[in-house]
Formats: sequence, C-alpha cells, structure tokens
Amino acid sequence: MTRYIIRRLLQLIPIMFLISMIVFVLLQLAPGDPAAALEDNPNLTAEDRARFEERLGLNDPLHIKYLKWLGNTLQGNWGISVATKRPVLDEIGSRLPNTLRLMITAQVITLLIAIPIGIVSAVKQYSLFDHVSTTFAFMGQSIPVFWFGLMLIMIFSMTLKTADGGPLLPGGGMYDLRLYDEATAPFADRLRHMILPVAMLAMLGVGTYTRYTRGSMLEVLRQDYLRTARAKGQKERRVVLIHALKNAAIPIITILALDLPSVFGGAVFTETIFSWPGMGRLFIDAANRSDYDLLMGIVLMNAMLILIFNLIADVLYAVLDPRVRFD
Amino acid sequence: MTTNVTYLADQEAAERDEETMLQLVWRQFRKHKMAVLGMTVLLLLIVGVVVGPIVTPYDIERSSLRERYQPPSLVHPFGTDDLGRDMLTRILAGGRISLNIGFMSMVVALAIGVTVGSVAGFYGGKVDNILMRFTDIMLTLPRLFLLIIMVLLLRGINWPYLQESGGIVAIILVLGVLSWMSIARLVRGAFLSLRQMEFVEAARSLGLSNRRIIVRHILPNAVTPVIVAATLGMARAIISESGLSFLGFGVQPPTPTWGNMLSNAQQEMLRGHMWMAIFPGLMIFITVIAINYIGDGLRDALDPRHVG
Repeated sequence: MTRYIIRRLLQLIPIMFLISMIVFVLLQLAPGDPAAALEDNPNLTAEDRARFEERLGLNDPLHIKYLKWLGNTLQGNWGISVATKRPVLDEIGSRLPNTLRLMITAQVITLLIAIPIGIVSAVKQYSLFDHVSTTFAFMGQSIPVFWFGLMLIMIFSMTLKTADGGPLLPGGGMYDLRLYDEATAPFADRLRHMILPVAMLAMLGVGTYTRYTRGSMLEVLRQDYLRTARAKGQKERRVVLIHALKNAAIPIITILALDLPSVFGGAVFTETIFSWPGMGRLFIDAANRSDYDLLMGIVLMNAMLILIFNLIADVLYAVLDPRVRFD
Repeated sequence: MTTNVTYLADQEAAERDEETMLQLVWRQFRKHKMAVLGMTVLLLLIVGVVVGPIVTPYDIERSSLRERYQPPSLVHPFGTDDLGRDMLTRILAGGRISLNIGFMSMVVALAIGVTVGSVAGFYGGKVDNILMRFTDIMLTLPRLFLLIIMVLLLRGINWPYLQESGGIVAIILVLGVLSWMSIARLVRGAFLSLRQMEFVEAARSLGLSNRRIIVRHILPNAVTPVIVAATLGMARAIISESGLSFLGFGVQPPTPTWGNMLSNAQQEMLRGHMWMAIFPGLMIFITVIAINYIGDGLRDALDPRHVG
C-alpha cells in the first residue's frame, strides 16, 4: 500500500505542473498588469515605467515568465498581493482555516442529514416519505445556492427577531464585531455566526447526497447476503444499519472527493454573502483588483487540496472495499 | 386476469411496432407527471419571455425616479427597482437572455464535448489518454474559479461582438468552454463500447472514412445519454450564469438577466426592499426545477430498460 501511495503522489506532480501551466497562461493573457496600476501616477516617467517592467520581467516571453514563476513558487515564494502588499502565502494562510472550518462543518451536517433520509427513503421505497424526500432533494439540487443564502438572511436575520428585538441569527461575520475581537469572541457567539453560512453551504449537497445514498442503498438491499443475514435471525434494524449501510456507504467517499471542487465554489458565494473572511472571498476580491499573483496562488492551493483529498479518498476506498486492489 | 394482462401487453406491443421513435419517447415521457409539468412550465416561461417584453406598457431601461422602490402592487406585480423600472418587465426581458445563455452555452458545450468524446473513444490509445487526462484536469479545478478567470481574460479582448449587450456572447463562450467535460466522458464511454460492434466493422469493410463512421454510424447510437446530459447541463448553465452575474462577473447591466438583477439584491434586501431579492431568484429556481424534471423524464423515456 505504501508503494501505491508513493506512486499516486508521484503521479500528482505532472498534473499539478499542467494545472499551473494552464492557469498561468490564462492569467497572463488576461488584461491589466502591475505596471498598468502605476499609470495613474503623474510623476512617473516612461523610463521609470520601463525600468519597473524590466525589474518585474514583464517583457519576457511567456515560457521564460512561467519558468521564473515556477522556480519562485517551488521555493515557497508565491508572489506579493498587489492590493495588500503582503506575501500571497500569508494571505492564503490567514484565510484558509476560516474556509476549511466552514466547509468541514457544512459537509458533516450534509452527511448527517442526507444519509439517514436516504436510508429511510430506500428502505421504504415508494412510500410517502420517499416521495416527499425525493421531491425535496430534487428541489435542493435546483435552487441557486446564493439565492438560498439571501433567503436565509431575509427569514432568520431580518424577519424573525429575538425577544429583545435583535435578529434571531446574525446574517454576517464570524463574531459580533461590536462586542468582541478575534481573541475575545466567545464560542457561543462564534457558533451562532456559523449557523446560517453552514446551512447555506450544506444545502448545496443535501439533495445530491440524499439521492445518492438512496440509490446506493437500493442496490445493496437487493443483495443475497442480506437475505442470509435475515435468515440467521438478525433484527431488521441491524440488517439495514450494519450489514447494508456498511457497503452502501463506501461509494459516498468517492462522491465526497469528486464533490470537493463544487464545495469550494459554493464557499465563494457563502463567504461573499455572509462577509466570511475566507479564501473564496479573497478570490473574488483578487479578481476584482486584477491581483493575479494572489489569484494564481488561490487556484494552486485549491488544486493541491483537491488532488490530495482525491488521493486520500482512493486509498480509503481500497481499504474499505477489499475487492479493490492496490495495483 | 392473467390472460387479460397478456392480451393487453400483446396489444401494446402491436401498437408499438407502428409507432415512430418520437411517439414512443413521448408516450413514455407522458407517464412522468413532474416532467410533463416541467415541460408545461417551461413552455409558459418561453411564451412569457418572448411575448411579455412586447406587450408590457413599461420600458426595460428607462428609469423613473418618482417610481423607485414600489412594493408589489396591481400596477407593478413584482414592484419596481432602485431606478423605478418595472420588475416584472425586466424579469421577462432578463429571462429571455438567461434562457438564451443557458441554451446557447449548451450548444457550445455539446460541440466541444461530442468532438472530444468521439475522437477519444473512437481512436483510443494515446489520443484517448491525452484527451481524457485533460478532461480530468478540467474537472479537478473548481469550475467557478475557472469561469471567473476566463471572464477576466475575455474582458481584455477588444472584439465588439463579444462585449455588446453586457457581454452576452462572452458569457455564452465561457460557460460553454467550461461545461463540455461530462458530455465528453459520456460520449467517449458510448464510443468505446460501440466501436467494437459489428455494424462498425461492416461500415469499415465498406471502406467508409473514419469521419463518416463516427458521424453517421456511431454518433446516432450515442445520442440518448447526450440529450439527457445536455438538458441537465442547460439547467446548470442557467444557475452558473446567475451566480457569475450575482458576483459581478456575468452579463453587465443595464442588460437584465435574472442573475444580475440579484447583484444588488443583498444591499436592497437589507434596506427592506425584499421583493427585489425574491422574484428574480424565484424565477431561476422555477426554471431550473422545470428543466431538471424534463431531463429526469427524458432519461426515463429514452432509457430502453424502461420501455414497455
């Protein structure tokens, strides 16, 4: 297995290389460059500008630019954000934990809702519960997630009030800025601020995972070994929850990995709507300011996380399903 | 009872022989109630967005400061916006553009996806390997990030056709260029199994060119899953367009789309103009559900396992 993991890790290198090349070329072709930002400065002469361009290597041919960038990136120098003048890696580092906290909580909630509903739907196929949950799952897959977020704010932060007239749930931020700062915000306050963004992000996947669990369970429930389990006198509850679910749940790991890019995408909307200082909002800010080093860094970091997570999912899949061989 | 059932089945089978493929699909499709409802809703929407902007007494773009922020009423069923424009009129005009973008970007995605998928599946080997690795990479990156980067890129291209009417053509291209991957995979899968079949062998022995075998002989057999994927893809494209426009990277105002009508919705909503946030989103939601149900119905109707 160690050999398998090492081989897969080595396979990631050319893929990362290709991804970085594609995104680098796309961003190089995009308009606006650091020198253009200096244009507003009246004291700047043409020679100054030329010197500036020379120093940044803006006139190099594309492949030289890429190789320079690659060399820097491999040494941990991911460039400087034009907007904040801070190193790209620092910017990402300060935002990534916020995004991960949001995403991981949302994914856990998604599974906690979707798997039980999917199981009951499958066990009671074509029942009223099945019809209702399938319809809701379908609606969940069709709702524009950012609009769902807006509606959450409208209902829970604007319409519904607490006893003292404040909003029932906060509609933005990670903690109450009027009362606390990053260090002093208590856990309960942070938790309250997470409810709506997590609900929004969880909505993105609930429909998909419910339908998937239902389908996967339906397939397993037909298998002979479950009849054997029942014939041995196992309780129905145990047959479904232990024998069937154990096998039905394995493919969900793959879906979790394949779904990760769309969750990162969903986080962009969630963080924008709920003023959540994460990587998604950082990306939007960077795109609005033509902050290309930062854009590049965020895409690269995302690609790395997604590829590593895919690898973990593959390994886990093989561990859980002995029919899959490491070769 | 048993004989009765057999008799009915025979009769159905006899009738089926005289049906064309289209009639058969339609008969199956009709059984899916939600799909029929979805089809009805979509047709009504299409009529609405085509006829609506013509018959409305209001102008799409002309603002009227005296009529700003009117809540829904009989005169303005969906209220008016921050510039005093009738929301219903703009939603219908915007729907025309949103539906167009959804449809046209799917056409672009189909063109790329079918080409990549059939070439990869037909030739196999190295070609297949390279094309599919590329497809995998495109699927690995978060689509939204690529969409936004592509939008930034196209903004630098000074081709007027691309940027007119708020950049509709640019958005169609961006969405199309980033939505072909699942179609390519489907087509490739179908080709891999079909190219082994005897009719392909027969076509080859007749000396037909590869191109003709791909287009005239294999592709028609791979069309079923593609129709379903394209339908669902159109729903996804409408959501993507609205999301991009919401973030400010989509179609630029004053050209209305359902997405960019929501781009100020959050601020307006917080100021109490809730109708401005509700209606455009509701339209997207209804349209996407309708199209998704149509896709679901098509899948049931086109899947040979469901026939009979």
